[in-house]
Amino acid sequence: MNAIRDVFVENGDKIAEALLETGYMVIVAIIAAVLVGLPLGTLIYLTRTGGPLENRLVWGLADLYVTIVRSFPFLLFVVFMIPVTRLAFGTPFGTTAAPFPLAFVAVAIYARLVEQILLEIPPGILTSARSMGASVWQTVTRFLYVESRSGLVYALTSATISFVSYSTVLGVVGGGGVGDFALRYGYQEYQFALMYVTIVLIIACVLVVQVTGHLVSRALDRR
Amino acid sequence: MNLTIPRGEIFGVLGESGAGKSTLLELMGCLDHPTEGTVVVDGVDPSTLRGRHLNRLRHRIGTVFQGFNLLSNLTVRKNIELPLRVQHRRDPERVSSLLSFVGLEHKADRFPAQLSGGERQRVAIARALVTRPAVLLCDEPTSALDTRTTADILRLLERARDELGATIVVVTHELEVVRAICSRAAVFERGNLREILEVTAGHDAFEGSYLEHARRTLQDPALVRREAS
Repeated sequence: MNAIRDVFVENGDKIAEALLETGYMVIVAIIAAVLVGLPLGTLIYLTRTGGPLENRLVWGLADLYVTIVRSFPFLLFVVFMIPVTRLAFGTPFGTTAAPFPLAFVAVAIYARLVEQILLEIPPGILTSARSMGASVWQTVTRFLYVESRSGLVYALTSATISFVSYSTVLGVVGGGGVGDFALRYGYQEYQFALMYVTIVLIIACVLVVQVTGHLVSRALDRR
Repeated sequence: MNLTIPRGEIFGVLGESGAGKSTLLELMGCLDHPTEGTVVVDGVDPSTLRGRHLNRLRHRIGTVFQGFNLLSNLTVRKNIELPLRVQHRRDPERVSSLLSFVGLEHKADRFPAQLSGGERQRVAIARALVTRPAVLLCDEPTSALDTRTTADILRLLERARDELGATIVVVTHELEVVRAICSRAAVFERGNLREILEVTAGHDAFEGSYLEHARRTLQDPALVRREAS
């Protein structure tokens, strides 16, 4: 018990800072997932063979992006992206620039989840949108997203938890965060109590995300 | 094939599965264009239209499906309102009057999962009628329902014609449905329209109790009459 208390007394500030850094990286990833991943996943769904906006070229390109980015081992992807990050931020290192590669992965992960969720909507919903003379925009916003909203929220929850996990790798480009903190001070400096406390904190954060996501998703589901 | 359906008629389209009924329905609903020949819906050939103009023509057609196709995350009222929203219109009074037309005012805030099959189809009918369409297309509207509920839905369709002046096309494989509400029916076989029949048999197919219905369907009519007397 004393060991745990000592961890907080001695490293409380640093832990708080690390948590904030992780929070920042994960929030950037969530924003990218929602703003780009959701439309991209929807585009893959719409342009697929037999989809309402069937287009082989667009589908092929969008699907290729998702497949390639998702098949990259994340650590290698971060290193691979260093020149691009430098181009965008002037430097590839530090907390501000670090989530840049994570954002690309977040987009790919969520886009794939969105596509899968939309594919599960009963085809009758699409037929009824078409028969009502709904535009593509209306079909997406008034029919598809309405029917799949709980699935979309739940998928974002799972994706967020992956983002937390991915964010630990961003230590290699100076992103900081709890993962990097546990590795550096806990593992490399042999402060194992510090490492375990940090891991428990991460688990606690993930639990909060999971439970919140589950509750919101359930509240949205009327099926 | 040449087929004209006058306003205010309830017209049946009959055939076994794969006979071409669904194709005809897609053509009439402006969801597909014919490879040969022309379809004229409300005076317009939909194959000459694209995008927004085609959607505007679809706005004048209401469709009821076998599987209801309601949005499960919207309340009954919001489901009925949906076609109006698609057309950028709001008309809460129209929605309310249709809710009472189909007898579901008291369930306006329920979700489809909380309704029976017949109630869901009534919501679907209200949804299809809310925009005052020129034509109401019904694709196997009672095939997922039991006999009593079927009778309710058929009565509702008749009232839609009588009170709201809808022209109704009912696509079905159930002869009894056509017999109960249609004045004429086109019979399809293997993709071809074989004949347009006038319905002259009595319209009582769904009247009376389930037992009476069973007797009528399963027993010799002469025998039933003797037992009754």
